Amino acid sequence: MRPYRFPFAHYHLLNVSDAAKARRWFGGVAGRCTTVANLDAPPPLAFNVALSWQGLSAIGTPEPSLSSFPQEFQQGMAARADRLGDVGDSAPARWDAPFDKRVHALVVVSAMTAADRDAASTALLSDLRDNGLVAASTIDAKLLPGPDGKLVPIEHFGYRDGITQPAIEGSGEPALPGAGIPDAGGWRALKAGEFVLGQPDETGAVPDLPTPATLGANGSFVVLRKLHQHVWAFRDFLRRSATDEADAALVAAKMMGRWRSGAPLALAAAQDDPALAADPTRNNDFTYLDDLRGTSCPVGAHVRRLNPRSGLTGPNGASVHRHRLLRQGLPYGSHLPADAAADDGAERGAIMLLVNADIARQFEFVQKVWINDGDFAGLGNDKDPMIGGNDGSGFFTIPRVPPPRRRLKELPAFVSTRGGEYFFLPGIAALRSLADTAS
Amino acid sequence: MSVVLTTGKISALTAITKIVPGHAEALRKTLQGLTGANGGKISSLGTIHIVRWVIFDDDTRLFFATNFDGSVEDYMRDFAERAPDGIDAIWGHCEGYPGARDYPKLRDYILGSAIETDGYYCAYPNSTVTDINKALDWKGKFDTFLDQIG
Repeated sequence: MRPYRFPFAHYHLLNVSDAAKARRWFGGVAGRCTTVANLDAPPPLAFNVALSWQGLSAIGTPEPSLSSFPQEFQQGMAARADRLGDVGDSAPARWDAPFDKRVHALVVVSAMTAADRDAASTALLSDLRDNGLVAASTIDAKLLPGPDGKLVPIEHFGYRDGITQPAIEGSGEPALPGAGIPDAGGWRALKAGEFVLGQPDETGAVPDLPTPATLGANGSFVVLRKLHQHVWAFRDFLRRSATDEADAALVAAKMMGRWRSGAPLALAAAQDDPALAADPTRNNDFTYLDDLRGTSCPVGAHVRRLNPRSGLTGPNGASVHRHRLLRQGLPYGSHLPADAAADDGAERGAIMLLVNADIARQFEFVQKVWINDGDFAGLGNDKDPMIGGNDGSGFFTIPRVPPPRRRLKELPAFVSTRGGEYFFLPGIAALRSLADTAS
Repeated sequence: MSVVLTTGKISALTAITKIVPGHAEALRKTLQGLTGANGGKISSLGTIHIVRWVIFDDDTRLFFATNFDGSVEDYMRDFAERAPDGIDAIWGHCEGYPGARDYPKLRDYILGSAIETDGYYCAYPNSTVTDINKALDWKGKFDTFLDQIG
């Protein structure tokens, strides 16, 4: 397994109308799915297929197999809303279609060009009806244009995205410094079982698989999150909280944990450093061990919360490697112009795909403990200042030398959940086996 | 007294009493009322960290477990003097209850139905309810002060 990124994607959300035909179709697309084997020569197009538990049920997966999947996957994301902090404006009742009802399958078409993507999607959609599938919705996602019109890996708030991915044993990729977990004298890759079912995980054991093994082995779980970004509210908050433009850049960097270029505060505490940000051998090479109080990068900063590295004191620091996620994010919606005088009300945000072997231990833990609480790091009730479920009453603390610390008050939500689901990503052999068992 | 286990300034007491047949539902409502709304009367006693009542054994018995500051005698006397109606409202549903206004009899009733604690741990054995509330109040004031000078 290996993370990859394309500038253009379509997220097709499908429902099953005919179980037997759909099974045959899923079995048949196995040969078209992108695997590590064909990632070595970067393809112009990638194709991935995943099913929700409702989807597995809809294609006629036998009951003993359905009930062997983990409870949180069976329930689906909407049923886990309270645990995930998807309440108020983020509650499932307010989610966009089709997430407000049900989604059986996710097909991701990724491409280097819009034309390639669109052609592949058109072919896919025309193929569905005869194969027992109905397209419920397609989300159009692509990188945003930079100042010169060229596409750049920058999300709607204006920050470089996609720098950190956990290094995985056996992925065939050289591990960049900072990509795995800190180890004596350097970094080591995570065990494959953290991301692939049927492999030893960080405990050294192979956890129980969904049955039959032909279905579960080499599979994984994909968490899809459709996150609306309140870009204008974010800019407005910075204006109100900061003394001037330079201070606004500093406050925003403290909240994010990286400067706009992607340079980490852990290595560039005082000002942005685009040269550092552009160097993949340096831009992720830090542990926070020399910054336990967070005077360079606040302990509550967004990127530090999502990957605390060695920066947690006490018992919570011992299990950081058990809560890692492979992340792929792409923006949807149009860029809000820098000189916008008010919120234009447009839909914009990010489609996040989070891959893990254990949804409850990895994604849900990160969402509940690292994003929507502060107690794990001695931060009381503070939440992630960027993507936490803030409601206008929260705080964000910026430690300083010399003291006193600076504290931002009355944090609103800068992100609202607009949909999502838990999907099972079958291994290629498992996908193929679906056709064999089609009645 | 072996039915009371103490660590630092905090003690544990566990007691089990028999519910008068047919009274479980009324008792359940009473307990929900007394512990709702942030504990009301219980919180005003100022010495109780945690108190828990469980109706079990097919609605026939009441389990009572509490963690409190100070000695058990002080705790119960305080409780009896300041909240006799509350005690009556709970254990009045239990067999053999003597009423809260005769303290020695109340003490003998509760301690007589108490069971020994076999394992007991407290993360903050030397901090009383008063200490903790005061520390939280100071923390809030200190944060406000730092906001003002920052």
